[in-house]
Amino acid sequence: MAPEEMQHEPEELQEEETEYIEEQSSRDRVSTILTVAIFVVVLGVLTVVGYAVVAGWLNPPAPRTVGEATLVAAQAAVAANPSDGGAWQAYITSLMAANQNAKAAQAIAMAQKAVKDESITSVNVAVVQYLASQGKFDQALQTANAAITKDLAFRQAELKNLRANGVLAAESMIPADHLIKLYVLKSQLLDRQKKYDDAVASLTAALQYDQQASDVMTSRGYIYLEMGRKADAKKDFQNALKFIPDYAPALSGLKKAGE
Amino acid sequence: MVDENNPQVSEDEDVEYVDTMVVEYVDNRRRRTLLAIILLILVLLLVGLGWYLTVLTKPYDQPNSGSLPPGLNWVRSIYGWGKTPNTLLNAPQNTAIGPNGTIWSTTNGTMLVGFNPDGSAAHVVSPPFGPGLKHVLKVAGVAVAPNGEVYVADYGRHVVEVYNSNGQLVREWPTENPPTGIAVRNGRVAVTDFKSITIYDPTGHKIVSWGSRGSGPDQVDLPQGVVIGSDNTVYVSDTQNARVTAFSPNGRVLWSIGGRTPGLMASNSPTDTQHPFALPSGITIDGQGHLAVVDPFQFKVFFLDPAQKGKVIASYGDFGQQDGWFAYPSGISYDPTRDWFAIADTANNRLQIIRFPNTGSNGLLSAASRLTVGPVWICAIPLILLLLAAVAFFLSRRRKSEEEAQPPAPTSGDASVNDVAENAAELPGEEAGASSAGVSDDE
Repeated sequence: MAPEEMQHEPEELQEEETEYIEEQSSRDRVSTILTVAIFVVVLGVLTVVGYAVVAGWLNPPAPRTVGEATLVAAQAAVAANPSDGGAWQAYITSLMAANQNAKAAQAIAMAQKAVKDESITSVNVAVVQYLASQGKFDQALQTANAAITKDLAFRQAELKNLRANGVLAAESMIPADHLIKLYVLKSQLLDRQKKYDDAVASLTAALQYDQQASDVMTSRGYIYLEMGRKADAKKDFQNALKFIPDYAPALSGLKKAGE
Repeated sequence: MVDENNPQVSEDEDVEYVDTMVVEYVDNRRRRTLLAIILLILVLLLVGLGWYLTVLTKPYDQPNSGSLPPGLNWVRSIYGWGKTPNTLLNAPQNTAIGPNGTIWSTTNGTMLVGFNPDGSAAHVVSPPFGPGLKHVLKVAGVAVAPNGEVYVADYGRHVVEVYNSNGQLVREWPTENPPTGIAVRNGRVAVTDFKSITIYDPTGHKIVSWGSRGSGPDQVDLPQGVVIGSDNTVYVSDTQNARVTAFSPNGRVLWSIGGRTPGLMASNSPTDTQHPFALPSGITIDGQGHLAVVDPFQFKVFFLDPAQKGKVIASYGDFGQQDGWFAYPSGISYDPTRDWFAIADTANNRLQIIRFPNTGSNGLLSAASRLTVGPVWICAIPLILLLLAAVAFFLSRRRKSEEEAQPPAPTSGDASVNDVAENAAELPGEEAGASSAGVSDDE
C-alpha cells in the first residue's frame, strides 16, 4: 500500500464512522418515536378502560333506557313472586327484547320449574315466542299446541271446581288472555307454513274467548286477504273498526280489501 | 487502523468492525420492527376497545334522532339510582338544577334525589333524616339557589324546607297555605299556593304577597309552577286556569297567555296560539330568556317569549313510552351551563335530559360542558404521567446534548499519548482501537 493511500485511509474511515453514527442516531430517533407512541397508546388504553369502569359503562348502576327499566322491573317482579307465570313471561320477553337470548333460555328453564299452576300458560306464551325468535318454528308450533291443550284442561278443571263450589260459572268468566295469545301465535306459525285454513281456524278459536278482539279480527282479515277471500277480509276489518274506530291496521286492511 | 508492520491485523479489525456494524444494524432493525408491531397491536386494541365500549355497552333501545319527535334532542333518561324497585324513580313531579349541574328530583312525592349531570346518583334525601329532624310529607315544588341550597315546598307540612347541597336540612319556615310551587332567584323566594303568591327572603321573612282564588285576570287557581325572571318578574303557571301569567315584583299583572275554553279540561288545542295549554305545570327560563312551560295533558314543552307578552314561539314533544317521548310530564328545569332541560316525565317514572333548538346563550361553552360530564378527572392521570415522561425525556436529551457538546479530544500534533488514550477509552472497542492506531501513525 502506497504511503499516500495509507494517509487517506483514516479520513475515509472517520467519514464512514460519522455516517454510521448519524445513521444509528436516525434509527435511534425512530425507535424513540415508536417507544413514545407505544407509551401514549398504552396510556390511552388505560384511560379508556379506567373511564369505562369509573363511569359504570360496563355495569350501569341503574337503567338508562325504557328497555333496561322494563327489564329491571320484570326481574324484580320475578324475585318478588317466583311462582307467578305472568311475571316470568314479562321477564323472558324483556330479555328477548334486549337480545339476551341465553339468559332468556335460562329464565325459561327456571320458570318451568317454579310455576306450578295454570299461570304456566303465560310462560308457554313466552316459550313459543322464544322458539319462534330462534327460528325453531316447528318446535314452536308443537309447544303452542301442547300449551293450548294444557290450558284448555286447566280451564275445564277450574270450571268444574267453581261449579262444585256452587258458583254458576261460565267459561267466559275465566280470563283467557294468554290462551288467546297462544292461538294468535299458532296462527302466525301456521300462516308462515301457508296453512291458511288452519291459521284461520286458530284465530276463530281465539275469537270464541273474546268476540271484541279487534287485533284478532284484523289478523284473520289479513289471512283472508292472503287466501283471496276479500269479502271475508272486509267483514273482519269492518268488525274490528266497530270496537276501535281508528285502528290503523284495520283501516289499512280495509283499503287493501277494497282494491 | 493502519499498521505498516502488520497489515493483516488491520484488515481483521476492519472486518470485525463491519461485522459489528451489521450485527448492530440487524439488531436495531429487529427492535424497530418489534416496536412497530407492538404499536400496531396496541392501536388495534384501542380501536377495538373504543368500538366495544361505544357500541356494545350502548343500550339496545337507545333512541336515535329519527325516532324522536321533531326538534327534540334526547340526551339521556334517568330511571333511578339503583336496580331495585325502591331505588327507581316513581312518578317524579318536580325537578331543579343546581349551579354545579346537580339535577334534583322528587320521587314518591316524599323523597328528594340529586343526580350528577351524567345521570349517576349524587344524593338521596329520604326520611328519616336524623334525630329530631322532621321529614318531607309531600313535595310540591323544588328549587335551587345560586349557592346550591335546595328549597322544597312541602305541601304536607305547610312549610318551606331548605337543604344544603349535601341534602341536610338547614332551616325551614311555615307557609300560610299548603305550598304548591317554589322558585328562588336574586335573594327572593317565590312560593305559590292554591290561591296566592308570596315572596320571602331566603330566611323566610315575608316580603310581599298577592292573589286570590278564581279565574279573574289577577287571580290564580292552584298554580303548580313559578319562576322568577332576571328583573324579578314572577311568572306563574296558573294550572287550573290553563294559562301563564307574568306579575311584576309587587304582584301587578303584566300579561297573561292562555285560559280555559269551554268544554273539557284538556280540550284546548296545542296549536291554538291563544289557548295552547290544557294543564300548564312546571315552568323555567332558558338561556335566551324564553319561558319553557311543560303541559302534562298536551305532552309538550311550550316556549313563550316574555318580550312578546308570552307569545308561543315553539312547542315540542308528544305522547309515548319510548325515551324522548312524554307521558304526563309535570316538571321542568334548565341548566344554563350545559344548555339542557331536565323534565320530570311523571307517568313514565323517569327524568329526561332533553335539548331543544335555540335555547342557549353560549353554544361552544355549553358543548364543552356537556362533553365533560362524567368522571373526566380520570383523564388527568395519564396526562400527568405523559407530562412527567416528557419532562424526563427532555432532561435526558439535554444531558446527552451537553455531553456531546464538550470539546472533542485532540487527535494529532500536540496531543499527548495519554490524552489520546483517555479519549480512546471513552469510545467503544473498535473505535478506540482505530483512534489509537491513528495516533500511532502520526507519531
